[in-house]
Amino acid sequence: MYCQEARRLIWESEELPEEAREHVANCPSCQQVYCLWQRTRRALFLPAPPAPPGFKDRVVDRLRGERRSRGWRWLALAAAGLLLLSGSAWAFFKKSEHFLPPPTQARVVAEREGTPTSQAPATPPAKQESKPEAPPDKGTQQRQGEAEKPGKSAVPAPPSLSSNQGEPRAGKGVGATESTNRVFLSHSQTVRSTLLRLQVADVIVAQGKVETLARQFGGQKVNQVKPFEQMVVLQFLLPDSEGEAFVNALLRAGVGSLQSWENSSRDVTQELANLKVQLVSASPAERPALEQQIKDLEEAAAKYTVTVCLMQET
Amino acid sequence: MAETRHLLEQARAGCHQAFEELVLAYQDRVYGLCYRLTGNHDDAEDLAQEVFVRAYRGLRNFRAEADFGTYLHRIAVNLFLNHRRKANHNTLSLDDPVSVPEGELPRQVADGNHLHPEEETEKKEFIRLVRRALNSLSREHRAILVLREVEEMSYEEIAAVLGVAPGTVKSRLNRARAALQKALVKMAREAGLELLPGEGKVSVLPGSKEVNLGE
Repeated sequence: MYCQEARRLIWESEELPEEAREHVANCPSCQQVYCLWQRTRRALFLPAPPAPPGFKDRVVDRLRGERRSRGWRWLALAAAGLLLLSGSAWAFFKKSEHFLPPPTQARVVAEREGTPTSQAPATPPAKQESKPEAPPDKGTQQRQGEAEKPGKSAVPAPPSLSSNQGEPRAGKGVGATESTNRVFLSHSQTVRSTLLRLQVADVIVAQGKVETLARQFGGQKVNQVKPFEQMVVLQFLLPDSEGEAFVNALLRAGVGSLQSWENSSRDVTQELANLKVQLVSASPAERPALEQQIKDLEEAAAKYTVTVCLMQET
Repeated sequence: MAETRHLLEQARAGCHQAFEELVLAYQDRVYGLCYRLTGNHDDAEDLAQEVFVRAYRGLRNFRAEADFGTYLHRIAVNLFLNHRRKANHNTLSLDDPVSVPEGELPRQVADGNHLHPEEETEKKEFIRLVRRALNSLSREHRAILVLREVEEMSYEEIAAVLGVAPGTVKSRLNRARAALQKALVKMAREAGLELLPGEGKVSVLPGSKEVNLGE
C-alpha cells in the first residue's frame, strides 16, 4: 500500500483496514499522520455544558406564549371563518354605503338595452350608480353607469360573450324594462388580506385608535367580534391601494405590541373565469345570481381586508 | 424509560406539568448537543428552546415506541441544519470558560493535561485551528462529525437522528472527515503552522504534491 492511500484511509475510515495498519506500523511519516488525526479527534471534543439556570422556565414561558398564540389564532380564524360563512367577506363590502367601484382592470362592463329606470332603488344596479369617490390610483374609471348610457357599451364585449347581448334579463323582479347583459373582462384578480395581533394596554382605547386610523385610510369596519372582555377582533375593508399603508401606519402608531402579522393573498382569477364560463351557459333565471357573485368577487379583489385582533395585556 | 413514557402520555393528554418534567429530564442532553453543534451559548440556548417548543407541538405525532431522546436529538439536528447561519456566532473562543456542574473552569484546566506553558500554547493553538476548520465546514458535515466524534454516537444512532440509512451515515462521515482534513491543511498553511513535527524536512508538508495528508 502506498502512503497516499494509507493516509486517505487514516482520515476517512472509522477503523483502519489490516493492510493500512501494517503500512502505518512500518512507515514513520504515516504514523505522524495517524497521530495528527488522533490529535484532531481529541481537539474536536467539546465538553457538553449542562443547560443554564432557568432554562426550563424559559421554555415553559415560550410554551405558554405558544398556547396563548394558538388561542389568538383560533379566534382570529374563527372570526374570519364567520365572515366567510356569513356570505363572504365581500358581502359586507356589498352592504356598505360608500363602496368604491372596482378598478379599471376589474371593470365590469354593463350593457343594457332600453332606457334604464331609476325606480329600482332596492336593486344592486341602482346602488352602483354615480360613485364620485373613486380612488385616484384607479385610473380612468369608465364603468358604464346603467342610468347614463343606454344602448351599446363603449367597451366592446368579447366575442365569446357577444351572443348573450340583447337577451332579456329575467329574475330581477324590477320590471320588464330592465333587461341587462353584463360582460365581464378577464384579468388577474387577487383578494388580499392581513391579520395582525396586538397586545394592548386597554382594548377600548386601542379599538378607538385603530378605527380612527382605518377611517383616515378610507377603510370601513365590516365586522367586530368580542369573544370576551379583554379581546376584540375588528375587520376592515380598505381600498386595495391603502391596505398596506394602513397596516404600516397601524404598526407605527404604537397601539400595542405586535404578536403576529400574517399576510395572505388569494388568487381568484380562476374562480372568476369559472363563474364567467358558467354565466355564458346560464339560464336567464341563474344569470342574476352569477353576475352578482362575479361582481362581489371583483369588488373584493379591489379591496384589502385587514383583520386586527386586540388583546388586553394580562 | 417507563417514567418517560408515562410523562409523555400525560403530556399528550394535555398535562403541562408532565411536559415540564420532560424538559427537566432532557434539558442537559439537548442543551449539550446544541452547544456542541453551534459552538456558543447564545445559539445553543435558542436552538435548545426551539427543540422543546417543536417537540411540544409534535407530541401528538410522536410514536410511543420511539426513543424520546433520539426524537429530541433529531429535532435539534434538523433545526440546526435548516437554520440560517448567524453571523459572528460561529466561533468558540478557547478562552471561554468551560461549564461543568460545579461551576465554570478556565478552558486549559478543563482540557485536562497539565502541560508545559509552551506546549499548552501549542495545544491551544491546535485546538483553535481544528475548531476553526470544523466551523468552516458545511452544516451537514459539521453535524455528522459532532454526532460521531463528539457525541460518540454509533452509526445506527446517527442514522436514527438523521433519518437516513446507516450506510449513508458512513459515506457522509467519510466525506465530512475528508472535508475537515482539507480545511485543516488549508488553515494551517494560511496560519503558517506546522501540522506535523518536522514536516518541512521530511516532505510531509500539507499540500505537498508527493506526500500530503491523504489528499
